[in-house]
Amino acid sequence: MRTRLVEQARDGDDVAFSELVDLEGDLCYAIAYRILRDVERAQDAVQQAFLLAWRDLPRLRDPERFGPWLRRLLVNACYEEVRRHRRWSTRIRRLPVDEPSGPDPILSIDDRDALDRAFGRLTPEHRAVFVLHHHTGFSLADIADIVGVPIGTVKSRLHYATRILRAAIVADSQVDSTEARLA
Amino acid sequence: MTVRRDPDAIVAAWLEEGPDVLPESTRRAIDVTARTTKQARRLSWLLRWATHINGMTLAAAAVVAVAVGGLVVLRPGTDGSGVGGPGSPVPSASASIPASASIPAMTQSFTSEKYGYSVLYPADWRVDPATTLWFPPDWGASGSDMSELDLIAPVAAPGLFRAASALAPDAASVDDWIAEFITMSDIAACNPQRDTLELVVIGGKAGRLRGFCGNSPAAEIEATVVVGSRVYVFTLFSGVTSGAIEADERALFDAFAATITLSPENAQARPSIEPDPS
Repeated sequence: MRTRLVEQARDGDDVAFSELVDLEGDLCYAIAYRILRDVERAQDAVQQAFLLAWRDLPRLRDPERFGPWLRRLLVNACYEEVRRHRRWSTRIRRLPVDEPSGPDPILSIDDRDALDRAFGRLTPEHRAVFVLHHHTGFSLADIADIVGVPIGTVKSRLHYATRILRAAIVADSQVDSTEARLA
Repeated sequence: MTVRRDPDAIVAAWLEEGPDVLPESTRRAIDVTARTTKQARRLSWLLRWATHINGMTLAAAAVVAVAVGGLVVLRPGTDGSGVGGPGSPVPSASASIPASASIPAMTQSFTSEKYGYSVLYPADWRVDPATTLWFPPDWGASGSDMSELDLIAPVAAPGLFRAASALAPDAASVDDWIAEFITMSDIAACNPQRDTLELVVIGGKAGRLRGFCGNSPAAEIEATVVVGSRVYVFTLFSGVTSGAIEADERALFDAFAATITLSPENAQARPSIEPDPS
């Protein structure tokens, strides 16, 4: 069914394309939000990705490849968003917002703050690999296909991003325990 | 007393936080955009046809395309009945494909704004310039995204000439890099070491040419030329079913290649990417 929709959309059927947005939009948004950590910019990235997808669909040779192709457009749109807003994001601290899934009790405010800061220091390429693997559950091969790098590079980026985020939590915990001892 | 905490669980919980449903306002905005935005032009018949080939390369598609009459137009002194040699099926579709007794004249000029080269092409071919810049190693990774390639294709017949260029990474052996990321025939035997390939001269620069593999499907001729650190790739997809037609395809490729001028200084640079800290 999805393939048929892609073929119809490729032939200019905007209703079929709208159905594809319904099918793929949520996942794209979830990925974009987690790479960008910003609701509005995630929406912009998703919109940009779908715009490019619509425009270039006639050039998509294999409809079966729509998913990976769309996610590549999405990741590239996220890269652009990160770079466009990097200066801002280093100066403006985003306040926590009430989000549909709600805060997890395992997370303290300090954890969240430490992870936000550590994640913000990662390059968009590292963020994308980390999110695609740990949130979306794509295989390393799938990620390599989406972001257009060899699997070895995916592994390297994933390892680095994971190490940075773990370190942020460990460092935060050490600060907490030191403060507790001093109290 | 300090409670031991699991960093991975904390990171996972943090990652799970956040919205998972695309807001309706964004959906509507996308719908409006789709209704008001013109789609790119469709590619040639060959590419559309190739969408139905699962697991085959474009080259493989082109093999069959020529079997129905494709580049027979290039075969000197033939009316097309000789495709594939005696006994080969010649579907009726071939009747609708104009025949020609020679390589078509290269009368039209195309200068790539992205990749730093110019080429002449026949009057009845159409150019579809790349709309986005190729960032290796994306070349053919999916076989799907053709928007990164300059495409020149006949208006009413199978065949496709594609071109692009990119900067090779400094640290890599260019030959190894090309072998890994550019020459991606699905047939392993069709990917010999680049330094063993035929030498060609394109735009006054020496390059290497990967021709027909010998057994179809492998209906592409691809030349790679390195100028400084910029790698140019020129590929002709058309198809073969016999050695006689291979020669015609090579002649067509040579006709294109003879008109190519390279100007790497005019190629667009990749936007700066932050250094990988890993």
